[in-house]
Amino acid sequence: MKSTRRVAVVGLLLIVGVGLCVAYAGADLWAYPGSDDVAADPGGHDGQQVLAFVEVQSVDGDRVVVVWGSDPTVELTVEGVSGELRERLQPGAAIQVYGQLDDQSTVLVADEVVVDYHGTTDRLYTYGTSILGGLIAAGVFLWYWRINWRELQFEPRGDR
Amino acid sequence: MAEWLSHVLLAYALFTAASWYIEWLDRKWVAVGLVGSILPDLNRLGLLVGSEQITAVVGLPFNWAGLHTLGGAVVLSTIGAVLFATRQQQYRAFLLLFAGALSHLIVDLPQQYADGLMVTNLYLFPLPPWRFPTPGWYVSADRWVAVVSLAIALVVFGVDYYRRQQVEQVVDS
Repeated sequence: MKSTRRVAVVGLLLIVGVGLCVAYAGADLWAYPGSDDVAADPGGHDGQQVLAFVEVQSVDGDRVVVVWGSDPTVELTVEGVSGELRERLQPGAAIQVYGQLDDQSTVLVADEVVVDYHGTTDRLYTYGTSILGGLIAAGVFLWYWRINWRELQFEPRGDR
Repeated sequence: MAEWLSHVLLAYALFTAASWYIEWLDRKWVAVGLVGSILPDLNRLGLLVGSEQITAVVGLPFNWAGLHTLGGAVVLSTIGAVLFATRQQQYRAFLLLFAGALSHLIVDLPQQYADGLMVTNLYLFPLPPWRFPTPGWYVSADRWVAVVSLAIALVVFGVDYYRRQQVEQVVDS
């Protein structure tokens, strides 16, 4: 395949990729209302079940305040979080809450809570190991394959 | 989502074990499979340029998460395959990149979700948004996932080394 044709094909495929991301953004993939739905009509969702991926803003006694979504965001007080879990939660923690919206969508009564990231340490671990994994994959690939910049293609290194 | 180290180690184990039965699947093609295993996480490009920013500029809804799907795996694997030189290499590259990307999505599936269901509704896109019960084995930051992945990769590395030694002995004799 000539490099000009290759560039054209990759360009077309990138457009398909962008189209996929646009179609994905417009698709209705969840059975639950999202943060943008709730932000648009806070009173209209009381009593509905949601699965909210949220960030903990503050933990003060029994009150766990979280922020749901980005642009627009919804601030919620999560009720029904066990004392043991509340003690482990820190501001910045990423948690999932499955529960029922209440009180003009200012309260989320939790049936189940899952902690994805307790805080900075968990995030650093995930990013650190991901960078290491990416370097290993790239390093092993480039050990066996070289980039021919003139032809814009990968070619096997014959000596390995 | 599991971190990339686990994805790469598990892909190494998968494709190295497959190489015992598929003659052309040598180490250079295993390396292609490793790259495939992190393709779906190209949605992390959203950390550089957010989906909301692109939506604001383009005026259309846009979500990088579309890449972390079955459809995304097909598109990204095809883009990668086109960058190989010969037609045969392109076919093989697509196969390995797609299998690697698929392994990524499968490893990501059995995570813990608060409603007890997998997020197959997202990963299967553009297929219908079906959801199935999740065994809830882990969350992204669980350290044991990388430890188990490393153990599996080491076992496969050991078996592969032993098999190569056996082959070399047969050739020498």
